[in-house]
Amino acid sequence: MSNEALAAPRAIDDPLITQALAGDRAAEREVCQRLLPAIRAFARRRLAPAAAEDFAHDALLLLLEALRERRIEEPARVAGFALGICRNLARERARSGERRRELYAQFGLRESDLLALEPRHELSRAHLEDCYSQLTERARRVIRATFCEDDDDAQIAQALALSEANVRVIRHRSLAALRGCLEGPISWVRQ
Amino acid sequence: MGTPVKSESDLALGQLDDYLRGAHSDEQAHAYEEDLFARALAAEAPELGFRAALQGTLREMAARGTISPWLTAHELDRVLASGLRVRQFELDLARPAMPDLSGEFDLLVTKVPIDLSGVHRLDAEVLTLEGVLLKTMPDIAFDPADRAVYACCEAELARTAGSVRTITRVWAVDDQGRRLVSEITV
Repeated sequence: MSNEALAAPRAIDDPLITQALAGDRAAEREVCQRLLPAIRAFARRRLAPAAAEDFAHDALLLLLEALRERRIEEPARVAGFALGICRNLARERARSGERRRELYAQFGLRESDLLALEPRHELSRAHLEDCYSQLTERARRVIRATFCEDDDDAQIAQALALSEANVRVIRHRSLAALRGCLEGPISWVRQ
Repeated sequence: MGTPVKSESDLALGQLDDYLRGAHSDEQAHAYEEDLFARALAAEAPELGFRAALQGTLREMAARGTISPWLTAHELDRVLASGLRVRQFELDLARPAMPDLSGEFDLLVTKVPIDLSGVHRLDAEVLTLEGVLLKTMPDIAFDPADRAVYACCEAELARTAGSVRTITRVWAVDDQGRRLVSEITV
């Protein structure tokens, strides 16, 4: 995908976003749920897992603040506004604990309210086990080191005597294989 | 699983992986973020949910000690000490039968006796009675000293597998090449 294609403006005609901008709390919640995984991805790229969660909550609070103060007028600007919040937070690198406490107090929110925004992404352990067992040992080790041990690619490459480029290719193929397998039924009922 | 054909979903998963693992330049990451946030807001970024679910479930399995589909006897001891309810079953290759799957348990561990001397690699295939391949499990982990492999699976998967009659073929690779070491029909 070229940068030009990625940066192309996106028409927003989703009434849900318009409702969120008009103060509809259910729509606001849905908008936050949609954006949270992207905000988390932004944070995880830059920070350790625990710090990334703090960052995501800070960004969500600031987005909620902007929504409730009606500072975002056009649906087409919501995503960019959220991304701008993330970039500003990243630039500042300041952990604004006091600001966070103020916002929690101002909006009568607690950390549990933000945790409740967490989208429910669930996979069946049995189904994942069925699919994971179909990977080669090398692929299983790459997936495990990436997702369970938070190893970087240099560490994985060293442990498996591979190049970092090979680790990347193995992980991409494994992710595609797991996704494809998980979209189907468990092997034993595939007849 | 063989190498799959790359779909749009797979490309999106790969792009997200590159982004998260720092493979993008700052300029590429900047453009990617613009697109990712817009798609997330439009509920058009399913790769985010998939990756989050995959990570969460893999970590859960790792914490339970069940991420490895195959155990050595030593690893089995660790699983037995974990507090999970483990149903153990030793397969009789002369008269294969289904394990008892009644009652409550968390994991089924099936011991399959196999002479592993000289074996470099083990693979297994599961087929229907008509010979249709259902799945291939490459690179079974084993300790030759165990003279057996231990298959470990969640109770839900054990019950699903136990509801269907299948043939399991175990293939070994040794200095002489690849050979069938066991064919189990249950």
